[in-house]
Amino acid sequence: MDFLAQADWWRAFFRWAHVIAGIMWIGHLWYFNFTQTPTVPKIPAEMRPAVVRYILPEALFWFRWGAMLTLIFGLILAWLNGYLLQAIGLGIGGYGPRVTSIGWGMWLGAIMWFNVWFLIWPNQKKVIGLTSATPDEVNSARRIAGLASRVNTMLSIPMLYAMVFAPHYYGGMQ
Amino acid sequence: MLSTGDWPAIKKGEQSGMEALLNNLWATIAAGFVLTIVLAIVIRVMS
Repeated sequence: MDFLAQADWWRAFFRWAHVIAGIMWIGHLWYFNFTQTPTVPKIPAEMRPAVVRYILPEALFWFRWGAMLTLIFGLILAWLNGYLLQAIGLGIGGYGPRVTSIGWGMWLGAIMWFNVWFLIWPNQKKVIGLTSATPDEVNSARRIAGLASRVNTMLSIPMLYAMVFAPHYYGGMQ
Repeated sequence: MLSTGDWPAIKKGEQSGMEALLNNLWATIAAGFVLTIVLAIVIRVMS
């Protein structure tokens, strides 16, 4: 059990956990935007409740908690790597391109996390009936949640560049 | 908590150009790649 005392082991552990939670999160985000949203209008009206009442609540559970764990594990990883504050500061002050890149990824990820917990989830609660709302409010909630979800889909592309491509391009895993 | 009241265009039932873009999945993906190019340049310049 000596490995538990090694900082390298914990860094590797939290990197692995961060990636698993991130796949859980972004996988569901892309499922919503690439599969569910374009397909639901094609489903006969009498069959749509199956999606809204059964699939959507379950997918939203893994989606929002995936987002939460990704953020928590990511912050722990950045702290263990010794660049948490420098990355939040976008590496300004001469910390190198890898820290600048991870910092941009962290900010984009944090914006996406905010969208999940403060725009998508509160509005989706109205759509799936966890929060009482009038039909007009449900339509408005569906629109806002959908737009926030699309914003996150758009941001996920540069976020993954900043998180994965750029830091490896600038010197790899040193 | 944010509400629809914070988004004037949505409150009025209007659709902005940005919303039209986001309602199109392929336009959203294309915008993501454009933002990636911008970010790549920004990271390069900052480093």
